[in-house]
Amino acid sequence: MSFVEFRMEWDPEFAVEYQAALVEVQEPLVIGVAESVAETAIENAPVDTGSLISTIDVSIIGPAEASVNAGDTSGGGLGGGRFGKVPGYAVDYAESVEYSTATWGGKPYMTPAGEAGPGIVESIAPGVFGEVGL
Amino acid sequence: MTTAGQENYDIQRWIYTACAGDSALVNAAPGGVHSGMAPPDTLYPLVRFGVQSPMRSIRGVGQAEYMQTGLWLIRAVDNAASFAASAIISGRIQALFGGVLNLALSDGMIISCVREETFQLEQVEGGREYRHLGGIYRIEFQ
Repeated sequence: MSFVEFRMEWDPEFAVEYQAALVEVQEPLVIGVAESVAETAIENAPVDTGSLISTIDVSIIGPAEASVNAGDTSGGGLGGGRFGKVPGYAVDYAESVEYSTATWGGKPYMTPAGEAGPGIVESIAPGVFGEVGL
Repeated sequence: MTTAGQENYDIQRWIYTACAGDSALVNAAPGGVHSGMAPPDTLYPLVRFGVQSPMRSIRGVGQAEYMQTGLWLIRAVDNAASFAASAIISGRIQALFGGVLNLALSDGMIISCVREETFQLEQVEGGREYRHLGGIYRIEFQ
């Protein structure tokens, strides 16, 4: 009896060869996704005076970890004016808009933006990988 | 397969029916079960639920859409000074919606419903304290 087999196996040498490159893409990928989520959250958020969207910003919280925040810019972030951030400025209703209140219907802006994350990775990954030669 | 846009209505109806049919939850929430906002002057505590993230289509090969996925916030809302009553309701919510698999509805199917995050919020509005307790549930619907 004969058969044809196509076997796939992870090559440890590949991991060694590309390890540095894989580490290199982590941060730009994470920050790229976070910035895109922040931009989408800004698009989603209801605007009256613009105060809420002026607080939406991206913060790096680890080597390959970032967060998108709304409501308080006192922690500093990457925005630096890019997202209209005013350092030290805060609003107390970011949660209420996202999750509503007992008597007022909210408008989720952050959760839908975060839900778009996997699609964002797919769209920006080729460019980021290309920059490090992957 | 449901028609486009109908899935939200089917899911709303399922959540409402499941809550309203649970005697322990109904007894704990005299304000009733509400999709979106409760009318003014409703008793507390009550149950509210709604879309937290729009249902997103998941496609297979080509254009075929085989399910929708989205986040729903289901919670108790109380105007008490503690979470005690809300915790009972939140426990019933989790019992009803935490870990539903392959549940056939009259039109469509809940492929799965699991809690992704617990939800807790304290607010002061119009000089009154309100407490929200529940969960954000991932619902996959076909």
